[in-house]
Amino acid sequence: MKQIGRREFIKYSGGLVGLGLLGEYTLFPWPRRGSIGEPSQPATEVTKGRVIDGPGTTVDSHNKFAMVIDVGACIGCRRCMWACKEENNTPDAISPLWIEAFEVKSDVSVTGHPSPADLKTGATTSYTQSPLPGRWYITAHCNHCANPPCVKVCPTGATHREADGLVLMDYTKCIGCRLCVVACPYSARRFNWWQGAVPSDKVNPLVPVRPVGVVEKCTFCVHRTRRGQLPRCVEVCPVRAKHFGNINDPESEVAKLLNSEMAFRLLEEINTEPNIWYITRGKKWTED
Amino acid sequence: MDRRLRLRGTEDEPLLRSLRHTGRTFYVFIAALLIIMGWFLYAWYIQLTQGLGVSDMRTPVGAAWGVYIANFVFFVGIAHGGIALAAAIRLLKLYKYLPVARIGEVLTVISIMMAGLSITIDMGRPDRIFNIVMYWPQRVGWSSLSWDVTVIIIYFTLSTAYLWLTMRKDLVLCSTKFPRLAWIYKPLLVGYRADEEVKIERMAWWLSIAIVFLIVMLSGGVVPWIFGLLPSRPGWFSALAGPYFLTAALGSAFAMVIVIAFILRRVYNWQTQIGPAVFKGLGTFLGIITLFYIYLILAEQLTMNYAAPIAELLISEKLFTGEFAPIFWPMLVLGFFAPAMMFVVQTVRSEWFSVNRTFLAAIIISVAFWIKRFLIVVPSLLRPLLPFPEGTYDPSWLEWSIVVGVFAIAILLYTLFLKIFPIVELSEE
Repeated sequence: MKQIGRREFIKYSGGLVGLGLLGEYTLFPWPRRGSIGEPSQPATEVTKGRVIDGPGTTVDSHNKFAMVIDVGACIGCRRCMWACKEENNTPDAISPLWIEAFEVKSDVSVTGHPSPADLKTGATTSYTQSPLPGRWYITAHCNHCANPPCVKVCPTGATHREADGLVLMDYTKCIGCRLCVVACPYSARRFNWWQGAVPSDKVNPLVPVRPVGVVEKCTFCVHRTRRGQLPRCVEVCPVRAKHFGNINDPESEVAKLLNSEMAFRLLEEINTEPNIWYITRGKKWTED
Repeated sequence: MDRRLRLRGTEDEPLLRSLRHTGRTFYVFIAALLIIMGWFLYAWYIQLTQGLGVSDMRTPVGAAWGVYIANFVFFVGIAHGGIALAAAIRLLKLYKYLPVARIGEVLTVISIMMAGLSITIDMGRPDRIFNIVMYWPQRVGWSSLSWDVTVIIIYFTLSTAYLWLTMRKDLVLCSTKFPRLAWIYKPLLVGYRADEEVKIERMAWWLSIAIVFLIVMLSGGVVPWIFGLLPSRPGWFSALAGPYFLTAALGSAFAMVIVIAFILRRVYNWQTQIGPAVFKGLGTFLGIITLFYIYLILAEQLTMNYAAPIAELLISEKLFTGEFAPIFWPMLVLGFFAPAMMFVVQTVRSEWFSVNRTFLAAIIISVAFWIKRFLIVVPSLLRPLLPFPEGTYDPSWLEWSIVVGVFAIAILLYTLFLKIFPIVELSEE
């Protein structure tokens, strides 16, 4: 048998590696990642009808979904939290829920980084009565960032951003490493620490029930919004504090609100470009 | 060639004691390790069947990562440092330390395996671990965890190759002396030629160069970047993360090498084979590394105290005066500073040098480095940036069982290696 010298060996193996890379990056029609913030998958047939979206929905890349929350109107009733839980088959083991409501004092910064003093005297998630005078109520959940840190760090692409601006989870890809959980500055991501049980008569068939060991979070009710409905939390809000729509459409409610009102977003300095905007048009409820 | 090629003779006999003599204590020891390992498997079984909820990790109120990740960082650290020692010995021709070279190499190989095991244990879906490999091409551009998996695989390959190559000549001798184990040696000696040593020497040299370069990029880069590139976590996001982790890796690895070398020296009576000079040199180096690490801790904490987002200060306060102060200060003063000063003193005053004290200081520093990894991982997770309530993290008995179990597996693998292969390179004085 002919001996293969070292040089030939290196040449051959180098060639094999080159061929492999060529095949990897040209022949296979795998979706490639674009720059950060770009959707990981183009809005094509690929995303059509996947379980996560609910059957029969498509991604419209002309849309960019956003939410506008009127802090002055919110009375902290938490109806949105519980409606979300029912709508999205959130098991009891998930706590806090996808949406969290914060009660803050009027002299406390609301955009993040609360100090221990703030936490002791003001900001809390465990209030029992609302609304109270001298308080503001802020609900927060996944911001569907345009520059999402969770998508950046995911080693499998289980969490990804789609063409209409929604940051979604593929529960079948997630390995449960929780790097996205620690990467999210809004603490918006939840983890299935236990096998979550949702009574079968209460399961919403449009939303997949998540297995143990995967991460989940607010989807902006993708199964509703891609069919032209409002997210459940927006629908149930008794004071119309939440507004939802396509920000690319100048005629939409959210676009008009952002045009007429000064808005802020949570933790803007982290450069996540969140898509939940907070406005206030003065307190809508009377303090008594 | 150098003196490593000297004729092998009776001087190797003492070094083969570890293969030749197996006393009753050994079996008791192995049995104890197996029992701990069984306990570990039981704990892991509970976690696999019931979910990670059996740990005390929680999110967003609480810590999403806990002792498993601390254990992962610890093992990655000693893995990178162990082979660094072996590579440095070859590159800088520090033949005085040759007796501990393979101790470091084996430590590296086993620690990498334990690091991988720790990550697997921490995953919510370990059954999907190969997803990381399947989606690697798409994700390696961004995900620091993909980089990490790449690193661990490269490292495992390089260090195993290094260990195997440098061991081959010893295996030839062993297969004549221990025909009982020849079935293990034979496959490892595939393609052996009597004149291969020169070539192997050269390959090992190039491997050493690759390893030394990679250590800076990998232990001082990719692993810390899992933490250092997350702007949402005060206390983690820092340009210091790389040098910080690299220093900790070298320090903990040197401490572990001292600990293992001391124990082997005791058990197998290798007083002359692993001489006091080895311990003195390693101890001096460990002392310098530890002092430098203390400096890095101060640099980090000082910056956090002056940082603009208050969140940084809050994490620092947790360590200085908050709930972690009762472990932070003992770690800093008793775990790092006191042993480091001991090393400095015994370097300056050689008549005060003692192998036993070196061993003791190395053990203390090893424990302190594990605690430090815990203090890196956990406090930053307990304070969300939005006004969530303050979280707590108190590892459950199950988490501790698994952590101890991983250590037991590491020790078990090391002991088995000891019984099958010579742990000190043969034909050296």
